[in-house]
Amino acid sequence: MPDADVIVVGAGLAGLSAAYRLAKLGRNVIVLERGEYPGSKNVTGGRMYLHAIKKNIDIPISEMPFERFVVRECITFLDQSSSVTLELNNYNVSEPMSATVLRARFDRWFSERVEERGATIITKAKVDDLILEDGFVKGVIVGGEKLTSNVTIIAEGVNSFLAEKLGLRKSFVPESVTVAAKGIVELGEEEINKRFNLKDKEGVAHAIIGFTNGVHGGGFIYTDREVVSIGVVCLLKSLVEHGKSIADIFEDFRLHPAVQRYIEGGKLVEYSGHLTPELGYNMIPKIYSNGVLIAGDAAGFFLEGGPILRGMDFAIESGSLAAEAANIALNKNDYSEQTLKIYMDLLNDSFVLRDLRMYKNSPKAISNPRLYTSYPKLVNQIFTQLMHIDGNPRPHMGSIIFNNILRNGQIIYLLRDIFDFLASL
Amino acid sequence: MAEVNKPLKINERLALTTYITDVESHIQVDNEKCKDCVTKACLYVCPAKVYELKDGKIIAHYEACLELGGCIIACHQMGNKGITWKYPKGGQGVVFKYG
Repeated sequence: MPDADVIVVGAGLAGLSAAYRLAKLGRNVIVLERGEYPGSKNVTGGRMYLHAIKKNIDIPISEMPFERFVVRECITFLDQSSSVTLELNNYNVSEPMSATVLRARFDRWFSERVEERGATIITKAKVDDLILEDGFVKGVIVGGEKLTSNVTIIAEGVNSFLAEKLGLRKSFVPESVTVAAKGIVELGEEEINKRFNLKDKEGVAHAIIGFTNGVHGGGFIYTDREVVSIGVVCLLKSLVEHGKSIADIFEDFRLHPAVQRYIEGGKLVEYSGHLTPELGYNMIPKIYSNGVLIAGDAAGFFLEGGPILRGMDFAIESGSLAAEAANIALNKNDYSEQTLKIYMDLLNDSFVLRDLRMYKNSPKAISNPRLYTSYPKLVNQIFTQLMHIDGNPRPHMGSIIFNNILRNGQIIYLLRDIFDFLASL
Repeated sequence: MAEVNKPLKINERLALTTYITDVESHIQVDNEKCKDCVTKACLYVCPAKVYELKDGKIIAHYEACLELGGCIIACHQMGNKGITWKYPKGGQGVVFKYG
């Protein structure tokens, strides 16, 4: 008899969702987490799209420790001394679509609910290796001890050294990972409501591009309940090519007047960072083998489409589906790759692979360098000139727009880029 | 806590974050390899600036590590493979309160 039906490596959203489902099905499941407590190693920008957690976890959203529900989406094109913002306000907030979240708090709460359902969670437990016998994964080695299981679910996050060791996944390439630097600014609930013009649990998701001096990347501001999350996300390869440090880009962003106007007078209370896989559908690794399944960031389930960043809903769904596949294998008492392949079928039928397939060219769409340099500048120039009145003769508005776009032959690029962008997204 | 409107050195920023520091480093640097590295990619991708170039040598301030793992990708694919990096032991390293 193995020590557990299923061992889950990592108490993030994928691992906890898997354990939640398995515990509910009455399975003996052990979650191993290397951190001091679940959530202590976990960082997001960020905001979670709520559909996956609603579907898979039978606790009302109102009882979950979300920070605020997003009612406003902003996209800002930032230049040195001006900015242009596109703003979408949703006045019907009875059914919130997404919420801001702080993972150290959220995952800790979630892990307690998973334990209540009967799963065992062991913290400060770093998995060093997998037990391999006759081509099957039969458990893990943690702190020099063997812990055996019928199925192992690898949900250890973006740097999945276990998946690499199994040969299921290659190391990520510099053009498909982004690096983030993040700060938490304490302002207080009332002050955030006042500055961002919000009520109750309303929140803002704000994406910003144009300040990175050519580095492929952007910034974000998310309102949490009593703190504000600010940060920058840049393509790893682009940082090295431009010889720019992510830590310095974070400082430029934090001190920019466009960001300062929201956070001035607050206190910086935590500094963190995160690595994100932006593989695209074509680079997703093999995610099942004899006795083992891979879920969440470890599987590379992440989608970026401009201001839309999705990883957490994929993690929850893929964790739940891995649990379902493991449960089927346990019923059949067959842990072979042929049986566990059902995980792939379930994912193919779910929004996870459907959406990743649909947006398989999005890494290409957002890799256009003009998106981070000339276009934000162009938008700012046009708006600044359109709004400029000083008593001197003024050209027609139409010619302001056309002169700016036609300058330097940008029109050719612009038309092609718009076409490419729409075709890829 | 730190004033949000003033420039902060990396050490001042990192002082805000909680760590349980292991006596043993989870990062090793082989400067024999680093001396032939042209890009020094590790210097740019770490939000904690763990890697410092001092007197021509790369020094790793492992106690500041935020555990992203970006350095290993940068070093092994854009640098000269001088860095060995693994997660700190269970229960050691960074402890995020917000995340």
